[in-house]
Amino acid sequence: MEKGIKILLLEQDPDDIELLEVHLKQGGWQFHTHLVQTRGEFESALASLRPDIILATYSLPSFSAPEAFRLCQQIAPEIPFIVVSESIGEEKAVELIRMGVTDYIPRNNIAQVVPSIRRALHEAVSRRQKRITKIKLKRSEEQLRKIMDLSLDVICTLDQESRFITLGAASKSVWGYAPEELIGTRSLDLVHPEDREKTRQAMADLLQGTDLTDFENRHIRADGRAVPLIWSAHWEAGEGLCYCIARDATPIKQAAEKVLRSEKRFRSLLQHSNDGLTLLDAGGQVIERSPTALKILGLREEETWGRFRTDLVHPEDLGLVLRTCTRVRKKPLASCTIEYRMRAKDTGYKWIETTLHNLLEEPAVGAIVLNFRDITRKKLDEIALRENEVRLRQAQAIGHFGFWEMNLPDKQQTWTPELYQIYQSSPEETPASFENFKSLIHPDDLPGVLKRFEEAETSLENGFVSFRLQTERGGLRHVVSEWQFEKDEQGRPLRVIGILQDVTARRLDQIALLQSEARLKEAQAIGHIGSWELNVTEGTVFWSEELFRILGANPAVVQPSIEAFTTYIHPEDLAFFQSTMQQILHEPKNEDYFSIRIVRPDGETRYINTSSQVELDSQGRLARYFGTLQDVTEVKLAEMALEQSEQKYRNLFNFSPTPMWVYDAQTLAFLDVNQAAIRHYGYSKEEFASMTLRDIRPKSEIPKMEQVAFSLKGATDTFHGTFQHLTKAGELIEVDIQSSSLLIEGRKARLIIANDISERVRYLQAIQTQNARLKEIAWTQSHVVRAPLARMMGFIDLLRQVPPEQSQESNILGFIQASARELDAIIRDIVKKTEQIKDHPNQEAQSEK
Amino acid sequence: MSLQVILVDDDDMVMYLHKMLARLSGLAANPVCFGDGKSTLAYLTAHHQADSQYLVLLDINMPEMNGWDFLQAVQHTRFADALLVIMVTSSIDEADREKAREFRQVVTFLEKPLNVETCRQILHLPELKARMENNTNFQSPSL
Repeated sequence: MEKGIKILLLEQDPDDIELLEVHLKQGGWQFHTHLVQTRGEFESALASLRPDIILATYSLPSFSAPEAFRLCQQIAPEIPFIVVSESIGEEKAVELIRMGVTDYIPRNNIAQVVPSIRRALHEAVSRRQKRITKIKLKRSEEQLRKIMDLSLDVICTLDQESRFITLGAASKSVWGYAPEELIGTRSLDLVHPEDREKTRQAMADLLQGTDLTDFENRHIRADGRAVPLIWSAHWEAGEGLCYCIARDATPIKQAAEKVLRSEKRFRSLLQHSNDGLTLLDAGGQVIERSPTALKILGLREEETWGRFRTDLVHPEDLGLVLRTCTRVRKKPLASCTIEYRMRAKDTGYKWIETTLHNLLEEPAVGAIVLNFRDITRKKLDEIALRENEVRLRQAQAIGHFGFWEMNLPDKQQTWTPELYQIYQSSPEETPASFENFKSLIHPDDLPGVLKRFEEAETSLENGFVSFRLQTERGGLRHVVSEWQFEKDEQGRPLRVIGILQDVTARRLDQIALLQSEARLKEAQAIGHIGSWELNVTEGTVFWSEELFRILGANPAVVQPSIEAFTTYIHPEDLAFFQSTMQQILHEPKNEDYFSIRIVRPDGETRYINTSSQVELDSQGRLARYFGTLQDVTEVKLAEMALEQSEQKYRNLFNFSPTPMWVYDAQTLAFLDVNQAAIRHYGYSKEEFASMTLRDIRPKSEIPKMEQVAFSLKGATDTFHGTFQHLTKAGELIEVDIQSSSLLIEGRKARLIIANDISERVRYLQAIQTQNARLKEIAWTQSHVVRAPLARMMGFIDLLRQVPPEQSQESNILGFIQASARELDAIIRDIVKKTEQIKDHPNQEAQSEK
Repeated sequence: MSLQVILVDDDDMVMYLHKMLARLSGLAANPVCFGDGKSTLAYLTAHHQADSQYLVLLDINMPEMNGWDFLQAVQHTRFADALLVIMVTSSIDEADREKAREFRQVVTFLEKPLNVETCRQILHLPELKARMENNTNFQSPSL
């Protein structure tokens, strides 16, 4: 202890004081003592000194230890209080301890004072720490309490039985009950009866250790209303407490419902509107499409492809549609209405009016909204109206012609009233004169007209001119004027009589016709489609420009006719073409299609598809024969190439000398076999057709085959192995199988190449047998040969060992000679035998078989 | 106890040669001779005494009962442990050596022709020596 211990000493006897200090010093620590003897001194010392420990004698003249202790209890109860005194008797000592003094040490036991102080100080420290901890705890509990009470969510703890243990003040606002009303009651009792079972289940899960998050149920408020709640909870098994937070979900629910309601409303709009509605995302993918939209477009759900079917838009309108889509997509909030044609299933084109509205940035929509309306009816009406107008104008124009006359020497003119009608004028306003006539001509056309007239004046030939009139009331009129000269006997011109006809309406039609023809031409050129017409009644033949182009014919030279066409026909197709023509001309029938080849002047062969129709007259005879002709050379060539390549592979398959077949990977049934397989296995193609792979195998091989066949799943699985097959004749053959997968009409199949290796196997076996035999011969011979040789060597050796007379007697030389003869015979025999094994090994194998 | 030398070979000339060599080398003064396995087996069955020991020089290729068949037949007889066998063959095959390992009686292989020297070496084979040490009655051959 750095600062030393502050000891407050309540003592009078100097001896005792000294004694104490001696002991304290022996205790080995630094200390300061503060001596007091009266109540006043003690009290003020307690307050100012804040001693670490108090040592008191039992009785003083004016004060006593019990009194001092009581005082200490009031002012500084945490300070250890030890009584060190003369013997005070057991009763008083017990009394002191009962009061709560830290210790009592009789003076005769003064040595105890040091350990006692030590213990007391130690306890004081731990007491102080405990107090601090307690304060902290209290503070944090207070904070928690505050959080619990201030939270808008209900924070509570529940016991195992769902009884509220603690509860935040929010319970008042959420449930209508103050916390103190609920503590001790079961939370489950507040739960809406319909939600009770699921809540019980959730509680059970919770007790099993599953934390609860976003659990929803309803509680019944004090006022009887149901309040939706979202719960989070955690079960703390150690404490036996469940920590819960319940949020009033009413606002969330209301918001969700609002969204749902508005979405429902929107959806019902989408479903029931007469207009079709489609929502596209920025990429053009359909997000939503109303049933009406499908109805208008005449598409089934699966035909929409999830996008705007621009491929169905009429080619002429496609540009407009795409441009509009792009424009609208680029500009937020842009809106645009377009009309276009869309191909319908079987009724040609439909007119569709679509309003595109870019609401991509509108958070509630986030899409380009397309409103569709079928305006085919309206459009048809419009077109009908326009046609009527044209017809009316034509009818008017038919009556619109007038006459004019001009005396030649003086150029005096007369105009008929009809002419004035065309001029939209009167004889009073515009007197008949060449000058006035000139003033009516459109300035652009005037030079041309004057030139024509001058030419006519010189040549005196009848003629006509068409030009435009610029009338004051009638505006621009297209007119044609035709004239004839009246001449005298000498051929001199007397006058010119003319007719002037308003052809404005007709002219407009002509322009339209020209335009539509141009379009047709374009279409024909694009599709390489030419058209032709044979008008039997009028005896005319028409070929379109594209037809000339297809034939490679020059329109300026070639006159269209059946005969002319015939000259282009490929020689091999000529007979067919002529018989077809004959048939059509005699027995006209509609919708005739055929394909022929033509040869262009430059020698190139083209493939042509024709389609034709006939029109009969009232007697049922052919009146018109017309149709189209399409150059399909490119398609045909591609088809032929494909066919050729297919044929090539078919030939490879069919004519391969190795047996091959294709089988169904699922059923193992033969799908196709080649000639070699038929030859090799002895079954006919028809027999194979009703067989499976199992039928060409001995029973023992079937499991092995099935295991292999069914394990080959992937398209890239190939297999190579050896099997035993059984031919129809019952011959067992060794086959080397190579298999690879292919798809035939969507079915998984496998192609097998089966190489009969029986012969090879037999060959090998024969060689092996032969080798074994040769080895055997070699072995035997070596033994046989060696036996007499060994004998000879043995005897010769013996000759050296025994004395000559004994060798004579024992006939050793005779033995040697006998052995030598034996050896000679054996070698001769070997030579003979080896000559016998010159046979071809295979022949040997065959003969063995 | 005595160690009797038995020669088994179907070739009379070989037999003569071997008998001479046995004598010359001191292996046996009067070896017993048989032309095939069968008669050897018959002899042993008839004459075997409890304390007898035999050294058999056995040819492999023989009619009636060849060397291997003889060894096979010997295995379960009461004299199975009394035999020591030396295979004598005109050409030693590795397969024969392999086969011989199945029979505990086979001591070694010798290739024909035998001579005095090889016969003397037989006397120094460790297996034979072991038997001879236990065999008090074995009469050391005299040259």
